[in-house]
Amino acid sequence: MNDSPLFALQALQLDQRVLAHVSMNLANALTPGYKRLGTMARMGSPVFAPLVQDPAAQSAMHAATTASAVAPAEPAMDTGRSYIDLRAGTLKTTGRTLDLALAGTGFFEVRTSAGPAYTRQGNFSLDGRGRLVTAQGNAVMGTGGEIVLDSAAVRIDDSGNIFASESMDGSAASAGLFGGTGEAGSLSGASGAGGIGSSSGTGSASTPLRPFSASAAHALGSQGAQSSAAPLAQLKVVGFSRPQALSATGSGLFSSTEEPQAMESTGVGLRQGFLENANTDSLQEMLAMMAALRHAETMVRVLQGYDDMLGNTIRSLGNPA
Amino acid sequence: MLDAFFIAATGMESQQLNVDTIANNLANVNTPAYKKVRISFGDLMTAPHASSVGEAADGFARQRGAGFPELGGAPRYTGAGVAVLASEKLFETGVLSKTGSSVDLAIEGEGFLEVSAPDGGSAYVRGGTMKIDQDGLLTTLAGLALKPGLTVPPETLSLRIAADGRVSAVLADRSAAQDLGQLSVVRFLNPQGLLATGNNVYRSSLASGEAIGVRPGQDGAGTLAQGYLENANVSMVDKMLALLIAQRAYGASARLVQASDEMMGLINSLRR
Repeated sequence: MNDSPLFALQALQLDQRVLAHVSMNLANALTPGYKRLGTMARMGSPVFAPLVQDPAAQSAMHAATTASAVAPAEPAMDTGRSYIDLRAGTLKTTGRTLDLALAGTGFFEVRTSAGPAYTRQGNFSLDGRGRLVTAQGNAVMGTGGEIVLDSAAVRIDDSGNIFASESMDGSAASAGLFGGTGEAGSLSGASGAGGIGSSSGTGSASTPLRPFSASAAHALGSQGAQSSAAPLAQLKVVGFSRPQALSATGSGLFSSTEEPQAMESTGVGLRQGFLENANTDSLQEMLAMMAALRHAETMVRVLQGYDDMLGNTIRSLGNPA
Repeated sequence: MLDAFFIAATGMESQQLNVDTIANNLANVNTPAYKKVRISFGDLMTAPHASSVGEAADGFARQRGAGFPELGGAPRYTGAGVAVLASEKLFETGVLSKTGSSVDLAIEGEGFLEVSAPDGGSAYVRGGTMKIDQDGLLTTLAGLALKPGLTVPPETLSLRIAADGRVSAVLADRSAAQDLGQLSVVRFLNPQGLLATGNNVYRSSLASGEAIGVRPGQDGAGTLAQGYLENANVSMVDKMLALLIAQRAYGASARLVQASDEMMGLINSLRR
């Protein structure tokens, strides 16, 4: 048979994958720290231009298709590479002392039963023993091992140093009479361009962000009582020189085949009282979905057309009259 | 069938839970000392399997495109949707509002009051309206006695509770107030780990840590405020905004379910 149904099948599978990624991105549109999945390159795209020019690749392609009646004029394969878009999302203020966001391009290090993992999702809490843990209960690592605190009333600075936060009357961070919640609003943190191919070195210059509500400010200890004591601990924030080596393993965690490097303090950009939004752009996803659907419809037509052609051929050639 | 279909289904289910949580928070916006619930989402990933679209496409490519090292860049894990990682109560303190009633007690700051649970163990409340039961014990409205047991003499005119926890009764016949006892405030390392048993009553658990009893106002504990009630720590504005966003996210996933259905229909119509 011909190659055209195989091309159409290939394209259909790619459209299915695009739809799966769009589904994933939109389902996780409200997941803090989520990094969207993208697909790049379709048939005839610039990515394959060098391959077309490459004589070795050309001959290999022709060798593989000499058996068929018609040699393909274009490169045969485009699987549409899937990638994790590591660009930073916008920040959302929550006012909670242990909600942390990274305005830079680093990751928090987390200890799981399967070894070290990395995450951008910063909704941490203390477990029954006072260890700083993720929402799932995995320990968040500091520069000196696990972080154990005796109270959630701490102040964390831009570089990840944790200080005890003591206000005048000795009560904990969230003061009673002015207590409240500040959840609404999102501020755009400095967007560090991650993604494929760009080097994520030290982070970008970030503007200091101040939370809205009085309680959030009080809770973070950013005004008034400043502790001059040494930090209780420092959060370990790491960076990767090759973001392509990261793979998402679920629950906001990433694993890497390469060793991470500690980030410089200026590049960390830690914000207390904030969570990073998912970097999903609903409009972009919807457009990709529409394009994938229409393209799938086109490929179905191609397959149906080819099927009709075969049917006609069999009928007319096989007809003894 | 299509991965996208099931992924979008998890999206819809998660946003449904999100809306339910917001509705619960909004319903309790006027409940004294109510603590709002927040759910945390996390992405679901599965290891590549035979039916994964990425794997199939790459295997095919390697078969046909032997000279293309660039091909086959699919991630090791494929997306499987979104899941709820945790559903936790947030114990940020609410605004205290003055009621002027001497039986209303609130904690200004962190901490809980210890009460006796019906099964004999300890439970914890964030203050609230109190009453004096038929034995003269100071209890919550639901009848849980405050620990340590404080007996109020029958001829008491009014109770006075100081910020540091000392309880005294003003008696009808004497001019000096009679000292009844001392209330202490209990703190936890992780209040989010407390088990909520309803009616603003909490039990301790392994996740919350041990109850640490302190004098009100010391070691990070709050002070007692008589004549005040703590409002729910729910901000209506925030919740309404969150509800709008949740509805739109739900709609987006629903749209993806429709699109996946359309694609499955297209595939089914390949052979007419």
